Amino acid sequence: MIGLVPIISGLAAVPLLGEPLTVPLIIGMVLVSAGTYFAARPPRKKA
Amino acid sequence: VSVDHPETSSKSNPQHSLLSGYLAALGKVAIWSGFMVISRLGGKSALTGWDIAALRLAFGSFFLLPFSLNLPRTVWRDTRLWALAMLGGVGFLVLIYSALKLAPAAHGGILSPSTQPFIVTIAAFFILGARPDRARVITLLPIALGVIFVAGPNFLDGNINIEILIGDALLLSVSVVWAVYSVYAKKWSYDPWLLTRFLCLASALVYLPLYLLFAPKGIMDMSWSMILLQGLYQGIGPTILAILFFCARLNVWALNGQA
Repeated sequence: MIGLVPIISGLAAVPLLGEPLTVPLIIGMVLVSAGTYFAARPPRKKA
Repeated sequence: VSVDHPETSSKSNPQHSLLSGYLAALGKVAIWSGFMVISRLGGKSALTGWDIAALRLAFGSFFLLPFSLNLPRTVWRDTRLWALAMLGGVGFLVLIYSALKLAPAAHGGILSPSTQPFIVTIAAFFILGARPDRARVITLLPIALGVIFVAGPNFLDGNINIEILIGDALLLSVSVVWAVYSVYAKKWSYDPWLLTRFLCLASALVYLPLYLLFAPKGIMDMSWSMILLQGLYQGIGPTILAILFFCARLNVWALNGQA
């Protein structure tokens, strides 16, 4: 769930701090969140 | 301190305990997301990174001191604990607040906590000799790509913003410091609650006198509301509540076989 931090902090910073939300930033957020999610998943057991 | 008592509540109702685990995880996410935004809010004000670190340690120590009076004396002579405190306490705080003085909150969220799996894997390889398998390396690729998307545009448009560049570099160095701290904390297996108290108090003992004597300060120009917001949020949220949520989640999820 820590993968949600980039998305929430990035989105919250737009109205609260007036920071810009650019396309590369959105792509970066999604990629890093996805990577954090996959990295936190338990490894699959081999058959 | 009550984090959760699986013996009395979770065991009897696994669904309730699982819900508690998820709520604890959500609480941790809220604290870390809020941490980026509130720290950046402080960074955009006249407060220096040194000020915010001092406020966090002062307020955190104030709240943790009553729970720390029974710490055994041997704890204060433990050089490993001191090393962890200097790394995960003073080092981490000075770097992260200095970084968020320069870089946007979104960069903080992307470059700092979320690159942890990536950097911890590298640190674990060098410190513990834990070689990552191929599947692990593949899962880490999106994180590396994400970092490139965040830091890349600053180089590509030919108009490099040095301030953001330094902030981004500091954020990545925060990740390295925190990864090394995490690996050694895991290797040395200290109780999280002991570590929380020692980290804050030992860091305050070392940092606050140096801050008062030498650090550049902007705190005199700030309103009380901002000082209280920073002190209370930083001192209670990421310092105390985050670790309690962490312990609660571990207790509950371990009970459900999902830790």
